[in-house]
Amino acid sequence: MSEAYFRVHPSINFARVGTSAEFYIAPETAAGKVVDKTTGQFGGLPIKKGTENIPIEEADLRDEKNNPLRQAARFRVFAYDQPQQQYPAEDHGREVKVGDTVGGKVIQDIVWQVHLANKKANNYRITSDVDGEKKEEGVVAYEDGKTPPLRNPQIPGSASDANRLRTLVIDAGPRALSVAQGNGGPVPFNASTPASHVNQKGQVESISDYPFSFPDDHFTLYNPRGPIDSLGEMQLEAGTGRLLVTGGYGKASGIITDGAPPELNDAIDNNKWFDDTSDGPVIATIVFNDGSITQAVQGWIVCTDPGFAPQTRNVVSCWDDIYNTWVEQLGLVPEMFANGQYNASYDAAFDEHVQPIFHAALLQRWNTNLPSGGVNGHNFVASIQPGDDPKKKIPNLKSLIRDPNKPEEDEEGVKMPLALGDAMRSFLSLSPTQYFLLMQWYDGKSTESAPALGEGERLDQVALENCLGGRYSPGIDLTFIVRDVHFYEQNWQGKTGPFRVNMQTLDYSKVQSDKPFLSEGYIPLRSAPVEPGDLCKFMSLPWHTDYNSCATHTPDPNKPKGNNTLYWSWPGQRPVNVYPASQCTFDGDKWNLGGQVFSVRGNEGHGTETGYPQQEGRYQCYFDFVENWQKVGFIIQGTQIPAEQGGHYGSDKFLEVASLFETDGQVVEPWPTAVLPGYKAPTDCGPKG
Amino acid sequence: MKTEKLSHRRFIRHGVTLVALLMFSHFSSAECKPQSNWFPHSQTPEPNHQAFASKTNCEFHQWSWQMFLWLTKDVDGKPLFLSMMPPYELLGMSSEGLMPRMQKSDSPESFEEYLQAGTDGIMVDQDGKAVYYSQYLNKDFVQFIQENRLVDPSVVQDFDPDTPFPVGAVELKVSWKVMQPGDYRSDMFVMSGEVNRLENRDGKIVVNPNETETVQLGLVGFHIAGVVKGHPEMIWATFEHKDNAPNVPTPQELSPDTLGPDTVISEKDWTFYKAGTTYRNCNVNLASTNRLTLDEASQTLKPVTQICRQFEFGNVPPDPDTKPDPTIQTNNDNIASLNQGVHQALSTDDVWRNYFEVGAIWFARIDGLKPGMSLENDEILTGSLTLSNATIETYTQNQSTMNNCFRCHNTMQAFTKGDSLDPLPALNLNISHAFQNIYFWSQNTPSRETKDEE
Repeated sequence: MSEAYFRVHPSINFARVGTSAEFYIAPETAAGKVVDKTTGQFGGLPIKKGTENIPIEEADLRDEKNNPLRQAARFRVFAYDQPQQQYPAEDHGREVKVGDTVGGKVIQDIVWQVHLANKKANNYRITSDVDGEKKEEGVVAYEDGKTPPLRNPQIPGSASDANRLRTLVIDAGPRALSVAQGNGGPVPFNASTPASHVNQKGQVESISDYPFSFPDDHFTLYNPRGPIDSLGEMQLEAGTGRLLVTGGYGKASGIITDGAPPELNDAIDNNKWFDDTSDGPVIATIVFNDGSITQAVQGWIVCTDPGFAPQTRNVVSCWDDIYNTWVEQLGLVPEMFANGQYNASYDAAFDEHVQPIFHAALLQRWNTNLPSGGVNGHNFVASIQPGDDPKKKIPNLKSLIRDPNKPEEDEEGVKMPLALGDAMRSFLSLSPTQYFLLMQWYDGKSTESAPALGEGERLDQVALENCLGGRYSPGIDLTFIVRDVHFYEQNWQGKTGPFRVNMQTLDYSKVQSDKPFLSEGYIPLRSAPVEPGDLCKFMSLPWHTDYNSCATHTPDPNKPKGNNTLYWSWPGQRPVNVYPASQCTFDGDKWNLGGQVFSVRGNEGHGTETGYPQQEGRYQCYFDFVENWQKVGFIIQGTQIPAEQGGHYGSDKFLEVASLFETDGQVVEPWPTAVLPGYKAPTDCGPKG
Repeated sequence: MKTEKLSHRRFIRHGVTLVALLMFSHFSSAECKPQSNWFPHSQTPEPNHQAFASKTNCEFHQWSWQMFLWLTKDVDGKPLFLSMMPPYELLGMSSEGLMPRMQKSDSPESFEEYLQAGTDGIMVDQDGKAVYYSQYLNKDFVQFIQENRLVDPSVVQDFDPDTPFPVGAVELKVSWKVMQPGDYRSDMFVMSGEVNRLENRDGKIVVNPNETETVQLGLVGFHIAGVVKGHPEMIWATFEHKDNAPNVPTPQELSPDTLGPDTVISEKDWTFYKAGTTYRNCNVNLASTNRLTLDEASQTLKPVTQICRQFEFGNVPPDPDTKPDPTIQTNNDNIASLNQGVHQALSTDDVWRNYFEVGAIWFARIDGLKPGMSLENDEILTGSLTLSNATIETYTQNQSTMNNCFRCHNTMQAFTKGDSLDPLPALNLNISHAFQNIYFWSQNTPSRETKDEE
């Protein structure tokens, strides 16, 4: 037989927390890309459970008890006949299932194995101490052998200390499921379900003495949303044998000390707290009818924050950052970038490299308080077509878009994108690759369409396109580690393919019940491979505080002199201002847009209302968001919101539905708004002892 | 048929109030005084824009005040500025009436200031009436547009980006309060005029371009922008009626307290402010919400906009703990001195002595205007660096991205809504929004005419 190459796709996929046991499936189309030109349907919508690709509607967002559904990540196995030499791969591959013939052999079984962990509490802080100030340096904080300070310093030792690993790492261990055995799960990632893995014969094998670790095993916990006793489940999709991984329930728990729960007062790094997000490798072992087995190139599951605005594309997505890293540092597209420079004659593709940026701009209005002038400008650029003369449409693109290659533009608060940056850059820039390709188009060097991707590579890209990029402070889905080549398996040509996490091979035969199985694992700019829990550990602890905080801020750290204006942190991913469908009005012919409200607007606890604009759109106490995050509504396209009149609200609107907040909150004013000095946070925030 | 507009006048002249005298009495400067040839007001000459020397801060404010007096002097029974041309007349278009500043209809026939980001929103007076605005161009401005055929968008697109407006070109924007019956004031310029009615359409409150009503209009705000020698960016000066709104207290005035959301800005009523209103309730822009409602029959809106003037003299007051910037202090003193000097020199029955210069702003360098300037910071600006007219830029007085004239009046390229209108390249002329409007209107004119013919 000829050799075949198997890969799990997407290379990295995202589950999202919810409070419902039910779930929908992660989107397999990209936000900001039109998937149906007839209806104007944009991508990014999650998929209804049990379907191939039917996008969810309003009624699918919450269960009958009004709990928001979790998002499951769906993985598939693809077979390729040729080793990969270039990107995109010439061989588009094909999805394979049990019973398919590949290279003359019949696939008898596919055994899926997933290992979930959460290492946040044993990791380094996101903020470094630089000259006495807390700074978010990103990957720079790990240069020259340095690291930021550790979280939870009250527990002594380094991040490799056995006690810290044992007590601070949540390790749910591995689970495995065989398609052929017919037990499709779900199999929970909790301590009461035996760990299992796929052995060298391609069989599911229990691990009886796996050293599970959940916070309540080691500490007396304050569990306002219930104990963190599971990181989710894995199960097989009925009829396809694909893998579905669901994650946690959005819990956060704190270590009780002297009878009291810990304070929750930092936007990112809260000692003595845990959450139930997680990540880990997704391994597929293919068993053939001749008894031979092969392991597909692994995928990776990340379980993270809810996606409250799944169709709003980030101007810089996680894909854009990853693609930039691979183009500039890992030789992904040598005809575009080689020997340290871009090829000035390289053709950009309008549909892939230009229009998504303009569409992202178009969509920002649905999550922000953009004034009409900004909305009009965005609508204008989104109307540009591939046949248009770029210079006629945008007389001076360079004066409009911030140049990522010019540090002096880091502090220009009027250039686009009009959002905040990261890693000591005040404002967001396109990635250098995005910027290069946009300028190639502007200079007349473009084609209408990019070469088609194989379905597996398309899924790789889409999953990442639907995630936040550009501002990893630390972010929502992944963070600055995507800019570190050590994070990836760099030898991508041949069997592996690009965008694969540099996975640590885990030998479950060495499990000891009295020893933590996982180690410190991956550290940015170091060579140690990546273990379960090594992706989410760089995110906020708990995620709730960062989400609550990241509405709008002044530029940081290099605030342009005199600038008191508030800009958005994550306008695509963390909606700040939304248009509720309930405020729209029908005029007999069409639905008209109503007013805006804050997405996070509850009055529980200390509530969200404030006289200080820099504090608007968030709970004044982090803990109030921990208790109420599940009430946040979702922003989806009007076509997905049924209406008695007109059938639905129209493809031209992206409206908030399924919010459980019982108030319209305070007035949303159009951008710009400005800081009012003198804010003092409440001193009696929860949790209370 | 062209609608007659702003053709009626009503000058009501009575004695000036004690309040006005007190208001203008502080921060006076002995250095900056009105010139004797400005008076009497009926004979105020136009400033000699070509002879402008750019030597002192005072000179700019003197130009501002002289312009105000020249523009408001009585010529043939009405203030001079009312004989100037509104921008749309350059295109042969007629106006049905004055427009409020607001998010208007998306329909192409509406007159609209393009890319006035942040100034969405209707300003509602204490009677529930919208505040209305009008614009005027002087003959130098009009002649420049006409001679260069700048009502043709294709000419604009090929126009030399470095060419500025000529010395002497002037554009004006005036804000008007709709006076209630019996609300005639002796201390405000009031005239009869036509305003567009408002209506509820497409879920918004919009202007009905085809329906007007005649009302009494009181002048409450006055923008003057004009080119003098060395300043193609224009000097941007603004004036307000003395009773419009209270100033937000300075840190010194508040000390030992500090400004906060619950600070009461004034204990007395002003034209656009109700006594006791707190800072958090000042200048609240409801444009993004559904909380502003219009009763079409009475043409009244709810709720009222409470207006506070964020910065007296258009400058951030110094922190009590830091040494005042002498340049700013001089600027403020000069304005105060001129305000006092002019008021003293005008006859007691001159209604225009009830107006004051809030401030003026210009470039600190001579002939510094270039295409593509964003003017996002104060690097090359001087004068009143946070200048707003409380009745015109009500909602953007404090935000650094829009807190003075040049933040929006810059020379960047400009876009507009929809995909049918060509953007405006980065030109020195873009400093004028009247010019920008003319450019976009000129592309819209055919569709407007077609609609009108239907």
